[in-house]
Amino acid sequence: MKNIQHLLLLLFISLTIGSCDIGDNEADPASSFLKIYDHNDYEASYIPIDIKQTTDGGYLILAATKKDSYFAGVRLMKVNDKGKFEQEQDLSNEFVHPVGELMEISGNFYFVAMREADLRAFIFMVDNTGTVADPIETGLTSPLVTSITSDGNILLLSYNNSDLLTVCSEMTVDGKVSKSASFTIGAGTTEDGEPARTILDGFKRLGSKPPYAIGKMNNQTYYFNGFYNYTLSLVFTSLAEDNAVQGVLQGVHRESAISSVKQLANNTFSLSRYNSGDNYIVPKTELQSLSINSVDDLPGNTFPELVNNAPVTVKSVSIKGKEIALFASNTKNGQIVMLAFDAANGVLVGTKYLGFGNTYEVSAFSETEDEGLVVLGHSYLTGRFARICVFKLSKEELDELVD
Amino acid sequence: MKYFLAVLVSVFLLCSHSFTYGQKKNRMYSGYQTKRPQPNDKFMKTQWWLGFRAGANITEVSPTTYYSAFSPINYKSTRTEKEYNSMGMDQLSGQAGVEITLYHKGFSFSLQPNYRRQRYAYSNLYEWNGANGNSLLIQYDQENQLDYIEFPLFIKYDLTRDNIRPFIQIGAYYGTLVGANKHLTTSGIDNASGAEGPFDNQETTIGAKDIYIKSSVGIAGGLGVSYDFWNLRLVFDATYRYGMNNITNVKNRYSKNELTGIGDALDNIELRNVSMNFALLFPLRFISKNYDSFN
Repeated sequence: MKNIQHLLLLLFISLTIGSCDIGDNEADPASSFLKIYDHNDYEASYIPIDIKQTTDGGYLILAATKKDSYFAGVRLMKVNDKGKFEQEQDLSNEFVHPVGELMEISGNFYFVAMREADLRAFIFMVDNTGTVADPIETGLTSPLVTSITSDGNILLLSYNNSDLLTVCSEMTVDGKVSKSASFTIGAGTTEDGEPARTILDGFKRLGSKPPYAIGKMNNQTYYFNGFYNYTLSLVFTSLAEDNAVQGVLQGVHRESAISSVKQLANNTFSLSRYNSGDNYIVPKTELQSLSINSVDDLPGNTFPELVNNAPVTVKSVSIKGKEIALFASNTKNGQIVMLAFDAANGVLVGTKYLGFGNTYEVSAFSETEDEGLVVLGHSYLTGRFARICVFKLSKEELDELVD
Repeated sequence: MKYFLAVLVSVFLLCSHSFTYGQKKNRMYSGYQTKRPQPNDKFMKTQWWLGFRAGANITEVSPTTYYSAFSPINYKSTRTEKEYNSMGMDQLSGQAGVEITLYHKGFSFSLQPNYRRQRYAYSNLYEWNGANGNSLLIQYDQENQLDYIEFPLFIKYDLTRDNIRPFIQIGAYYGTLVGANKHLTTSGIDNASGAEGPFDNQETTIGAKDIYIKSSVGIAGGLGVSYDFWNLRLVFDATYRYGMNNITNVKNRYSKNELTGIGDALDNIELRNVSMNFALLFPLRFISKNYDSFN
């Protein structure tokens, strides 16, 4: 009898320990989720661009949508902290071609789109409720990409389609341009020739969008990834005057170029590049901003799982107190891959794949208040309907990425 | 729930202890008893039974909170809610295990560890419509199969003392998940691809253990009847199990679910199950020609 009692006691202890997962089975629904925003219109179109967290814990999504025009329309979507759809609005048909990033400046959000009639670039301000203020006209045309400076100004890379120039500018949120310079896309080029045709196709969303980028290293040096001298190149400039190029990392036409770039500190960058379909991640490198080099001379780890000439997004994020160069891109099997590199030494510390079942493609990601990450992309429901999707990763999931 | 289990097991242990103590006590103070102890008094009120049991079960789940990977923009979110099966023969599964039962004066304390398979199903229906009659209607039917090793503990009461004894039983159980998978069947009507009729294909089975937690606990109650013959006891019982915890792993609801692409995200669910069992039990004491082991 005593043996049976001991056995039962052992069983009881085992069951008590085993049932601990019941008490632990709790999670804040806002900390981790996946949402796919479905619209049951067969022809509905959603092209996600960027996402930022609002003060209510929800998220503001900048997107584009196909319309009866060469250019895509402007769409804003607001979802709550658990990812549930709240509202969307399409801006007036007067405005088209929104470009990222969605910039958070002084508690509001800014993005740039253009007026279809004259291709003039406008700055749009959106508050935390998703309300759009009257747009502010700039003196620039055909926006390509924007980013924010550390002091809250807007950097805009744009295209002068009259003179076939790439234009790099810094301006305030009021549209006042403080610095601007133009760069030739190639002497003697015509509207029908390259690279003007590729630039125009990017506006029409025909083919893949060139991986434009713009940034500011310090008060004397800016950089942009855009068309210069016939090629898609990473150009360093002071913006002191037109064609004031300090250094260039030259691509090879459109076959070889930088696909993403992020300054870590001084001349240290995290970037990715592609060459005839192959992709290379360069988590940490010193770039010579005062010399002319070739993109193909950069070292890098090849990532054959990425799609050809993969679109890549790179940001510097803090995970577990460590600076991480976080790359996001698309795999050949239709998943989004997050590649985390230690920014201090360029060592790959973690990889995470997002998305099952459908094809998923990444558009952007950003950090959240709870030290997690929100990843914006799109997914093809039933293989045919492109819909916006949002992955919210909790702090724990992000920590696992670097463990 | 842990406390509930603890109380049940404690009662069982205390009862077991008091029976043995009682027997010792009788031996120590038999001289004070007014009636001379008879062998039947001593032996026949307590019996241990050991045997095998197996049977069938059907399951349904009770969702407490609905979830979906889809967040609709232009239709009601209730359309993303799953339609669950009700209890039916489509979900027929089985279980098998052993039983060890302590009988005393009409009451039995029965531990019935078993391996059981439980199945439940749900479906989602989605529709996209467009101009020119373009439309796509897709139904996703998912059958979920859960394999548990379960440790139920029942208290039974025999309603009679005859060879055929109806009984009632109540108890509680703890199950630990040892396997789970999902079987997905896709069907629908595609009016946009030149098809003239419905399609029904694309079946797939995937592992799903990560989207459930290991533990399943609940209470149970039921009816049964036993039949004593030779030195054996044949038992039939029917038991309703009422799950008391959410078996969905809420942390892996989206991250480990390979079907999120079709909108799938497990709801918070509790199990409901009806089990029917046959058991064949052998007495562990007093098996001889001189004594009846059934009383």
